[in-house]
Amino acid sequence: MSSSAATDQFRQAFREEAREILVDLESALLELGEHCEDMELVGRAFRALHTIKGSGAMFGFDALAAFTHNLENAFDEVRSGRLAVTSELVDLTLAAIDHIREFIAESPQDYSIARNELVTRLLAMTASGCNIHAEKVAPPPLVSKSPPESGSLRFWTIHFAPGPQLMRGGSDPLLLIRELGDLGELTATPSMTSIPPLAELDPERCYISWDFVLRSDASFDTIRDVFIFVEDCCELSIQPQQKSVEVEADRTAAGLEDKRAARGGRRDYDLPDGNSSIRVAATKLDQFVNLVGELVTVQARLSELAVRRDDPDVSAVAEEVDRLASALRETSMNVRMMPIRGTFERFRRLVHDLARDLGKDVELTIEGADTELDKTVIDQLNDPLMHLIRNSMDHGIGMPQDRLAHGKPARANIHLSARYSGASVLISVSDDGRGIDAEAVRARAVERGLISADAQLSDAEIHALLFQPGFSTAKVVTDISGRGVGMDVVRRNVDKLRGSIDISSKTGQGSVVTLRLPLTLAIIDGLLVMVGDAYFVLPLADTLECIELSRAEIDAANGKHLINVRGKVVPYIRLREYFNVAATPPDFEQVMLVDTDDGCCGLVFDRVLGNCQTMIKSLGRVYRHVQAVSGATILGNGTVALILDPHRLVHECIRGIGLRVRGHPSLPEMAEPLQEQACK
Amino acid sequence: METSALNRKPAMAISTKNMDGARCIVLTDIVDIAQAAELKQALTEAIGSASRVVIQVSATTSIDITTAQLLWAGVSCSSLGGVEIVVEGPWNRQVEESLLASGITPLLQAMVQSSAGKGADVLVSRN
Repeated sequence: MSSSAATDQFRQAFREEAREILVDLESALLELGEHCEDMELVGRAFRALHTIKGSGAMFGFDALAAFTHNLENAFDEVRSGRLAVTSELVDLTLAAIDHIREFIAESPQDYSIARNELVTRLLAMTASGCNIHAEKVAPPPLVSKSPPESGSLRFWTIHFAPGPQLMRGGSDPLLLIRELGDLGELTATPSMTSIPPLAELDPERCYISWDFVLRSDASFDTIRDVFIFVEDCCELSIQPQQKSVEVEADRTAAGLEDKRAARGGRRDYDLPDGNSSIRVAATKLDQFVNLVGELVTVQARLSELAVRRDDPDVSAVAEEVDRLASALRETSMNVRMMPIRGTFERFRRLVHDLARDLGKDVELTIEGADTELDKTVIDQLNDPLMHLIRNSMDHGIGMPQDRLAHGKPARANIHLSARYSGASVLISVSDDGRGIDAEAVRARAVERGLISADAQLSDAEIHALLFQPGFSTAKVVTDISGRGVGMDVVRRNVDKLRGSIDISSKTGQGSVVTLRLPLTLAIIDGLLVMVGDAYFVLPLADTLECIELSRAEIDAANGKHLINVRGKVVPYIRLREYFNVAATPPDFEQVMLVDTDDGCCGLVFDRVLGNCQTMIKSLGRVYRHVQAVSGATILGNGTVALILDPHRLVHECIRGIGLRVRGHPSLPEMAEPLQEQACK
Repeated sequence: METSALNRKPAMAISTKNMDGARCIVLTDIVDIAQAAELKQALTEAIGSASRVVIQVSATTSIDITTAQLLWAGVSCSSLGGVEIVVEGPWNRQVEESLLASGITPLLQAMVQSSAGKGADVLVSRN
């Protein structure tokens, strides 16, 4: 790799890391707005700014470093108690974050005038804030800038053990120790016991750890700042000693111990470091997963071949390859899984800014932020969630005085949550606002000619109107919403992800929009089934159990697609009919019960062939309107199997019935009369 | 402007020669993580091929912790294999201060003394 390419790679890595730090900084600032006395939050913000400044300068973002320096100074003043946290400081810093994002953009715009103005305001605030505090409260500074008096000196014990990645990040413990030594009188006791024999030593890793005793007037934060760039890749503890005792490190004893260790004593250098991680380009991950997908396809061919040959040796190899491919597939999928926290946290800022602009008081609460989804899914979630939140803020949530008049707290709540459900993740955006005005939606739909004036629509059908392009009940178009674009974007993005949307709303109580999204878009565990000569794959996570359906049972149902499962009547869909498969059905067909958003339903096919790992291939743009099929896969014998999406298949069947016969009951409702009959 | 060690092109900071029956490793200029693999190889080869190894550090202007721990590991390895090893200074002042501040100097000195015997030239510290 050329030097220029390496530099570009480091700069790109900095950009990505800085964006993550900025999300954390935003969260800290917004929390700080609520708890302005929380010095831990102040420290978090300061460290984030310090890291961005330092790393930025290291990777050639000099203008960014200079700009961030002013913010860092302001927060240093806050840390020192000379400047108070005000909403103005928080807002100014949030605005500065936007500029920092622009600094690290691939094609940054020139906003130098706005930046200069912001810096001027910041400097003015810092100066005036300091004066006010000096006159009024004058709290004791955490860090004394004047020469320390002997009485203010303290002893600190510090343990510092660099992790495996510390050196590769460009840091050197010797420099950190020198910096630490500048704070006062330092006694260092290194431990060499973890250094392995020369032959086994990784030359680019630091194996030495240290215990220090520091005699200094420096504060905890000042000492911690020495390690600010390496905090994530080292063990660090900083403890104040209450008594001023002179501690003399017994270097000779430590040396003897180290020599004993070097001659064969106990070593702990080979202990794994569970927290280390590396940053990998998403394209490399995609390539990795694609290759694993190809491997899975080849493995299926090998298994097929083993069955045909009936050779025990080939079968043994095929089974071993199957086991390894399965483990590799699971690992590769896990590598792509990311917690949704980063996406959720970004919306704190959006809610804060919109609340301020709209004059509303809104808090955002988050639940299930550690729920993990495929990176591709997460990347495409940002826009739908943004539109849903904007809609809630603008339409759902009322002004504080209106809420109080309706017996609600002035402060509204928007709740973002994520949780697993089979092979899907459910992501909900709920609010405690006014709810959807079904009459207004209906009236608007009639006005636009989408439905007739006498149409009888269920709640779900009324809610579905909201996703029509350009549909809006807003009387005034604002810069936040009202053009009817947002919900259309939500539907399109969720469709692209092969997800589904559910809306529930109660007038006066609020709304919940739930997105059901697949955990992954790449490879799934499936059940291979056949209808006639056609192959289908059912996602294993959606299946419940398989039962037989005899010709007699079909005839007894008088043309109704219902089956009695241990006293419970369950509707079913015959894939033969749905996909127009012409072959004659066997005497006993198979019913796979699947768990869907619309309730339990059976899918009927001829026979089950067994489990299979399946790489999902897109059907392409031509078939993008086919809702019930999420993709296709190539089987070991070279034929193509369609991968069914049970949720959409069942939903589409219900909707098909609903469109033909207005007010047709849902699947559970369809089952109800026969359910009672079965009970009798 | 200071350049990060990982970005810097490797310099010819490590060379080896035979000297009075000993294998001599000469360190010059900056010896840090960028040269760590090279230094490890030089130490391994020297300890494996000679009964006496001299590491000249007087022309070194800067080292990092990887160099320090490689020296430690080299000295440990030589003592196990019966090889006499000498770290020949003086160190550059800045390097010496770093090693002293980190507490490594006394340990390294003790280890070299143990390896080389009392009569050997032990010049871990400055002169």
